[in-house]
Amino acid sequence: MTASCRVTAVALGDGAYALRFTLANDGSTEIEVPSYEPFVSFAVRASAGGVAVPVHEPALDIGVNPTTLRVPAGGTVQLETPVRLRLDAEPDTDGFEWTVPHPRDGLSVQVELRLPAPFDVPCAVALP
Amino acid sequence: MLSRATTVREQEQSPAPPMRRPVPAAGLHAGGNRAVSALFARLEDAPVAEAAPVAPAPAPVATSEQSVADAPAAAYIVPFDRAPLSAPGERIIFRARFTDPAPADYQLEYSTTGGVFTTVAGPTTVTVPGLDSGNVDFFLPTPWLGAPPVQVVLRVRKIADNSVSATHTWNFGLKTRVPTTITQQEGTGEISLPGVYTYDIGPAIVPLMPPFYEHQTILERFANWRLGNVAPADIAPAYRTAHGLTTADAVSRHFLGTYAGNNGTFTVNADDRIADRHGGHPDLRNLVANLVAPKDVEVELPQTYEAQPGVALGNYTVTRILKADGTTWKVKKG
Repeated sequence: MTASCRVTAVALGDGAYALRFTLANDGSTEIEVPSYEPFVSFAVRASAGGVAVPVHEPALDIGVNPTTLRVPAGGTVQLETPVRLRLDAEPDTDGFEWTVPHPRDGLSVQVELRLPAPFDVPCAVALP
Repeated sequence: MLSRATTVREQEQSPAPPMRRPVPAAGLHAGGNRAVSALFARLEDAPVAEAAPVAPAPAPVATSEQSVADAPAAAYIVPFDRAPLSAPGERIIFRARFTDPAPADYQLEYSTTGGVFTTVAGPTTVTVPGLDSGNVDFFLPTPWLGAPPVQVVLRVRKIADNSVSATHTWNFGLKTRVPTTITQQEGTGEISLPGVYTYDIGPAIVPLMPPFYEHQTILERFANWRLGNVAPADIAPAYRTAHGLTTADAVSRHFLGTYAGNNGTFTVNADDRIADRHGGHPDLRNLVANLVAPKDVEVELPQTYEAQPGVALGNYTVTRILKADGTTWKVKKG
């Protein structure tokens, strides 16, 4: 595979996590894809015991800045997002606070990038 | 693979060419290649040791890659443009959010020369605990002819040792012309949520060459959202009676609560454009459960852009639509 993605969840306390994306290019040529700043071009899916758990994404209306992601050949790019994921929480009204009404134990989280190919890939998520 | 044609899934449309800026986007760090790492190790993110600020001053910088990696990572810093052009008395909205495992170890310090924060008679410094500033209102002086210079500095300070992990600086200039037209490039029909909308700022000024309005600040404001097509008769009678839902306004307040968007300041890019993203949605499970019959539910959010204080450049309505299946969300804007 030429392009891949992983997400590192940074525990912030109180069930909240920051998400840090690493886009990797295993190929021999640079990859460019259009994107926006801030980086919010992804969806979060959750499940527990094989059953989908809703992820609430409150309304967020913000200006964005078109940008180009350039991932060097054999290299990576790290992306920070202002979105925080809060577990075991009811829906919030802060558009940057996405919530999952399920505790950490037994929860599986997946992230889907909303980027053009070849970065239209699922991201493995490491929840500490 | 390089520069391949691309299509963005789920209606996050392919963006316009990126704005020409002297620094890479907040939230972006290159790795796995030292040359690229050096390219992105911008001075503004470098940590410095510094005494507590009284007035803004250029910060000395260190260039240790290790130290840069240890500093809180910038995830969102607005306004995007660090050399904005604004009008006298104009309200500018700043916001910054950084990521660190210990956000309580830091504080965000905004300071200014020439303007004020919070209100038109407010302070020249604002300090916010943690690494999320929330919206910080800033006001240009009035009258103001572009001199003396107006500057805003954001410092990320580590409380324990008083060191500054990052410094970001905005140097304001005066708008010498004001745009009077704004044109949405996308259609007004439904698209999947989230949607990104692009606006051309005009008019063109003959015989000048574009860009005509690059760097100019544009304030967006919202009115409270409302249910656009749900009347009391759409609500199950027992629920409607129990909660006194006798008017459309009462239905909106009951099921939606209050939300007036996330006001912000845009800056026009080198293509004379701004871009606006509308994502997420309210939690309408209770409404769906109490409808007389399934139907599309429209949530309307009125929005105004203005390029000079108090004068509307454009008025739009952002409409989020929960389809009758109760799970599919769309958006339209016009």
